Amino acid sequence: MAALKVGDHAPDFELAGVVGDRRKTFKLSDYRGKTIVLVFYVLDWSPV
Amino acid sequence: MPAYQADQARFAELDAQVVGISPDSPYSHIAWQKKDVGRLDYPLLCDFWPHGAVADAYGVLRREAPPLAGISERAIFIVDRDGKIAFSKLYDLGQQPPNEDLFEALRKMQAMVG
Repeated sequence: MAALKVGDHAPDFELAGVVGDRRKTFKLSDYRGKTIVLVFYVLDWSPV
Repeated sequence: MPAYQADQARFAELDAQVVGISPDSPYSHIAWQKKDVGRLDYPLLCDFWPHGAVADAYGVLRREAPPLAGISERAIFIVDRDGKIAFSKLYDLGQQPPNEDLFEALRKMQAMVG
């Protein structure tokens, strides 16, 4: 499956998450009007 | 991920919010910060269940080894104010994506918005 491309609609999602050691849920569409840099990374503690 | 922490002020100047996402649990994210990378002031999201569903929706879930099925590609998307993808790039798994790529893209976006 190919990664989404420039101009595509960014699929909305809601995920559990943390900021520091505090839990915080994040919903992409709540940030409409803001610019979001969405960084997908391999894993915490990834050797690669 | 510490590289984004170090450049938080520059992202803020460009009016952009960094959000990290990996197929890990919140327990892992918290422990990883404490024991390894240090506190990160931007959100780390848990693409944990259904496993990798958001990575899959963005086309960056790795389904096959090596090195491991179920991990996410190293990929960055900038989502603009209208919810559209304004930047999309895949990086080698072992590569730290250069933040300059992002600053350049964000500057161009700002110039277009005016």
